[in-house]
Amino acid sequence: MKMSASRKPLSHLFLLALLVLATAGAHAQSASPGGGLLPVTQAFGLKATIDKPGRIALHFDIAKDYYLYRGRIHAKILTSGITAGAIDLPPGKREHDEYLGDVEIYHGSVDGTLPYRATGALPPTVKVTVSYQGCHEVAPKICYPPNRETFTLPTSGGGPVGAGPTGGGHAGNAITASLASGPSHPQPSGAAPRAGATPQRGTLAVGLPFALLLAFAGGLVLNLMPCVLPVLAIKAVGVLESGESRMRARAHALAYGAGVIATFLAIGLAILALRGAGHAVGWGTQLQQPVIVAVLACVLFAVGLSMSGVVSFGARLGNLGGGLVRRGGTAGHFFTGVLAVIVASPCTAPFMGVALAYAFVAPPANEILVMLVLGLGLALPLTLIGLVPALARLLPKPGRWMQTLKQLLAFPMYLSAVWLVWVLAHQRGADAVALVLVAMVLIAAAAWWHGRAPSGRKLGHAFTLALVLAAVASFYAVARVAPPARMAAATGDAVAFSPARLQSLRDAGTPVFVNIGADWCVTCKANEYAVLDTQGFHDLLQTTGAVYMKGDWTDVDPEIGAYLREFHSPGVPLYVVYPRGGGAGQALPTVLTASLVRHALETAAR
Amino acid sequence: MMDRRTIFILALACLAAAGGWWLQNRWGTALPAQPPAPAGVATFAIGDPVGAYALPDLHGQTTSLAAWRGKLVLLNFWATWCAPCRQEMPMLAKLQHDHAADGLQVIGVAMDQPQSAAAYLKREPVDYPILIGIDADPVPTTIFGDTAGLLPYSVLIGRDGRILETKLGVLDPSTVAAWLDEAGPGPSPSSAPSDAQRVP
Repeated sequence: MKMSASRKPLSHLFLLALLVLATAGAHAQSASPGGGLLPVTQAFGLKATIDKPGRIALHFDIAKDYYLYRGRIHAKILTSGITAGAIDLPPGKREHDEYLGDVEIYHGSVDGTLPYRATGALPPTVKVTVSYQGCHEVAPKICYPPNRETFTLPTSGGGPVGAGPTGGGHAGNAITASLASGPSHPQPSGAAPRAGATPQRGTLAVGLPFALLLAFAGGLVLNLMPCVLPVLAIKAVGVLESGESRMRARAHALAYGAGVIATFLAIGLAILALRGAGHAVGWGTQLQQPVIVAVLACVLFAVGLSMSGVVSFGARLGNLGGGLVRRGGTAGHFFTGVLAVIVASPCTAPFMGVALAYAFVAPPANEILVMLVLGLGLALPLTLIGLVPALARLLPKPGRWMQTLKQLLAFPMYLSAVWLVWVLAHQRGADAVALVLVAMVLIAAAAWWHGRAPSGRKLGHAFTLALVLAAVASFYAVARVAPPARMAAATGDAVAFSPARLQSLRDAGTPVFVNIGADWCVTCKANEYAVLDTQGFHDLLQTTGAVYMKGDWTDVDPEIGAYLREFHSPGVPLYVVYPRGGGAGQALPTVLTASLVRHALETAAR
Repeated sequence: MMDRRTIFILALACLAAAGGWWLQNRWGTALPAQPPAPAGVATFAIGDPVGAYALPDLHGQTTSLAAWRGKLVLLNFWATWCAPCRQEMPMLAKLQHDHAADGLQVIGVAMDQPQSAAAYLKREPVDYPILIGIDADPVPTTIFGDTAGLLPYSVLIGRDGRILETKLGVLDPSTVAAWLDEAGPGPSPSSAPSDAQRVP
């Protein structure tokens, strides 16, 4: 029943590597909508700004494996009183095309300029339409139809154009709106891309110090989220039980902290890599992948079983928290930290949203810093308990109650698993639910068999392996279940979200309240329950004449993804109010109150 | 030993996650995501009848797909600015030539201005009819399920006028062979099933 001391850390490191891989996998998935081709605006990522008076700068961020034709980039100015000069584009890579002759193509990023001048007085804004056309050059080889994007740019002053659309008269966007105490930089009136146009990635009005503060607070609160708390409670119990020397306790606490922070660092680097490849990344988007949801549900279920002590491997899985402490493996503690981050991945704590929103568009160094500080926040309480004996003494004395607590805390784990199964039910319907439940039964069976089989018996292990493989096969089957025919999200007052529809409503001057949510987003559900599904909101829509538009991000949806990026939203919920008369949208904070919504809608309808 | 068991089970769970991710990615590449069609635009799904859907030809003459009822119709959306489309057209021309007797009818739909399409076809002629889809509203690619308008895109319509298959990207001979196989031999007595499988 013993493992040689020299081998254990190695096995743990192996396990750690696998877990990091799985986490990175989850994020990689979230990044590639449908795993197939990018929406045209993401494939060619066009931005337009006025970099100096009289000149519009055009910037294309072309994703890997995509290319643009130089000769098919055209720009036209639609504002009367402004005439455009000739577009200036750098030479591209020359290629011979049998039919088109010599063509020039672009990979990577391209910067071009379009000079303009006013024939009379300079209008406050200039409206420019850019058309371009490109293709995907590896299998599946396809070409995108010519795409046209229209930008409305302020002619006053150069400099970087501010982030996203800004509300008429209201300085700021999603971030400043929700952070009254944040440092406020008056934004240059922002480029307001039309719905569906490429979002502007400017700097947010949240400074790095404030983002770090929020990240730290968010990390701390993450400790209390229902999916993390039980794991950490077990770990704390383990610390109490161990009665180990102070020096060892300190080393183990540091190993745990290192595990948490290293995992956040890995996630941060993965996000950077994906961003570099032009993908949309958001927190929680890994839950758009049914397989990830199914696997997470099963992991939570397995951890729950272990905490209940109903299966014999359970007591051993409990080692993740307590047992390994007794065995004294530093790698084991490191691994507990990694596990804490993985079980935290479906949760978003308060404060985290804003910090992540900052991180997802910040320069690489700042992004990594925010991730590290988030990790620091999550790791701090338990690390402190290990480091400062006085704190550990504040905890109650070990005893039989710990066993009871461990078993009690299994129930939040089961409830978390139920929630994930419910999310899966919305994503893939009854078939997927049946499959994931079968996987859970198989896991329970495998654990039961593994626990009762005499150790060292090859046949016993083979049977366990067969059961686990059957569970894996269920995951495979979940991946293959087709999404159920999606009903338009139009229920009650709401109309289904579509950029085209939004644009036509805005063109007609109608005030619009946009709500983008997802079934796996607890905040969204809370807001709907407390504010949006109430009679008061219904009446408010009637009196203001606003249209309530609802988008559902439960499944991958590139159009909604692009819309979220337009508002720098790291995920859902996102609430945007468009004022009467077709002005730019104003994002609301992620936690709604009735008075806040009333104020926003009444202002918009004025 | 206890540790090893824990590790064993957890490692398998992680492998399952990684494997599932890999599979789904693979699965995903085969079926590129298409955005939903704009509100109010009815689109065809597999199994739907295309009815008398009509588009103008190169001379502006409106031509209905009903004209080819009883034939196996391969609708191929292309454009002159789409290099992969131009590359697959000779293959389609050969397909038309080889399988005309089986009741196969290839129809090109150019998502291009008629003059550009005509100029190209003058240089690189194909012996199947060409319709013009650029000015139709709603866009024909959207109606046939390619809501992003990506090219090339092909749709197989059965002899009963119902959509059998769609394919985004260049058609490969094995796909075409499978399609012809699935559609079965035509009513023409001269065609044998074995012919249908022999595809360039």
